[in-house]
Amino acid sequence: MSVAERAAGGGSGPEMQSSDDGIAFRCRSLAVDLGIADYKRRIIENLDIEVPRRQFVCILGESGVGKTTLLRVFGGLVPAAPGSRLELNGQAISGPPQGAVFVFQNYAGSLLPWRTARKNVELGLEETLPKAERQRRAMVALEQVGLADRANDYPRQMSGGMQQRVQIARALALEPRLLLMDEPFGALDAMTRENLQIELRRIHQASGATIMFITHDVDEAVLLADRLIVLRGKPAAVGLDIVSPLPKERDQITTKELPAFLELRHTIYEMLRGHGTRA
Amino acid sequence: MTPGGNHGASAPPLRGLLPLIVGLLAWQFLAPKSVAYLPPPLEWLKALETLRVSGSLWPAIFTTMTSFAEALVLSILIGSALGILLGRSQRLDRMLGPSLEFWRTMPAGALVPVAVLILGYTEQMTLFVVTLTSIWPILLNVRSAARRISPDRLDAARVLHLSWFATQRKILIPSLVGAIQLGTQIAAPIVLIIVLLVEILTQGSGIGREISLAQSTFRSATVFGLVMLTGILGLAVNLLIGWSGALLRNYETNV
Ligand SMILES: Nc1ncnc2c1ncn2[C@@H]1O[C@H](COP(=O)(O)OP(=O)(O)OP(=O)(O)O)[C@@H](O)[C@H]1O
Ligand SMILES: [Mg+2]
Repeated sequence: MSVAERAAGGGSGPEMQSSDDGIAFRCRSLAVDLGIADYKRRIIENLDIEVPRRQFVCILGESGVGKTTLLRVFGGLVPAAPGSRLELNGQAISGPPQGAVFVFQNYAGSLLPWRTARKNVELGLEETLPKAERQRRAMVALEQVGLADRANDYPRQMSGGMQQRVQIARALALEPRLLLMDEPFGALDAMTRENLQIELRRIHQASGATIMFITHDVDEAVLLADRLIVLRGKPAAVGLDIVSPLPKERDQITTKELPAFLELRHTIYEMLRGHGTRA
Repeated sequence: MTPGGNHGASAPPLRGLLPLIVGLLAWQFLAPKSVAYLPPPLEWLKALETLRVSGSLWPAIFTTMTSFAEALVLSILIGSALGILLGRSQRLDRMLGPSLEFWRTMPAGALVPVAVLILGYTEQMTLFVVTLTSIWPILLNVRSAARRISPDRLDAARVLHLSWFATQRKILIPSLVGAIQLGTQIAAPIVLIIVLLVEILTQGSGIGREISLAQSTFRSATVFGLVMLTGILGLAVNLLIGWSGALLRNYETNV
């Protein structure tokens, strides 16, 4: 595991100074309890991860293992259990951190039905930017997800996949340093999904944001990730943590033909399936 | 009453009043004129005209409608605020739930003597009794809507770093506008009824007092006329509420 933690951090350029060791995210012996009082259940236990800046991390694991819960802890929406250490840029996380944005699995619940797509995207900018500037930013973000021509539609006039793309645009418009995405492409058709995968990868390379990305789709994870983490167990901990050997430039066709791609894909499948039969 | 009459959400077609008007005309022209306590509709209008000439009609309408408007606004404000508090805080809900049930089942008629003892025959007493009895449809509607707000919607507000104030204004209130409007639609006729009831019981002022006075001096045409007037006011109130609903939907698309 420690081998994995080191890698990819080195490539992120000359980031120096004391508090700033190139690590965006650090959690040590992280534990998380959900539920209240008598119904409290430990969902995650003894989880250690260090994520260097600019890394694109994909998190996998079977349904119900605790992926969403982990991401919500990172996003400051759920507190960690006492004794856990959890830091973003050297500061303990005690609420949604500045510069971090969350893309929810449930897009329908998180968009505002009385706002158009553009106004939904502007929601996070209204308190900080003048009108013209935030409209421009919103349109750029909608353009990035291929919805510029639907800017004035209401969520109910859009398909599920389009609504999810609006939610992604809302996150991108904030130009976040840390992007937490919970199965963001789950609701999309294959074609849109492949386009957005490449677009997200491009945005990642251009913006230098750190991305934590949950998915069920092994091919998607291997295509996108600089690093793959598989959660397993009850309570969940890191079952596998691999740095991707694939080159930085990713492409739907050529990357998927690389032997390293197939090998990595094989390893992940083994891990996910192995969990099913053994444990 | 009449089909499409005063229960419609948006402006009800006035055409639906036709059966009522036909009924009144039939009464006017077909009913025997000799029964003193069942005067024909034209007599009602004459009685109202007499009341107007004596100078007590308009002030009575004004007083009743002022009490109505004030009590409705109070019910909306207090009902929404309490509904939000109870809907968003399970602890408060458990703490206050039983006492709310107690107040909810209290009939207005029973409250009047107590309120008169404490506040006297005053405007505040009327407002107190009316608000306390008509607040419930708003409070309960808002409470259940506040409970049902998607947690993801509020999480989105946190993740996007909306301030507390912005979260209320841009997420919470718009999520509840529909429930407030529905509650108001149900509450408005109740407010009018209770205002009249209090006025009749206390003989303090307003249309209710005029009805009570006319009844005690056996001016039956005046009683009928005032009751018809009350019906017309109720209809106007419902039209107004339906119209304000359209305004609110317009507001909704602008937050
Ligand atoms: N509020 C809660 N109280 C108690 N247990 C909870 C609560 N919310 C979720 N859980 C449990 O926590 C576990 C992890 O849930 P989580 O949503 O993180 O899974 P997931 O890995 O994201 O699954 P999926 O892939 O299906 O989205 C599940 O077993 C779930 O039953
Ligand atoms: Mg999940």
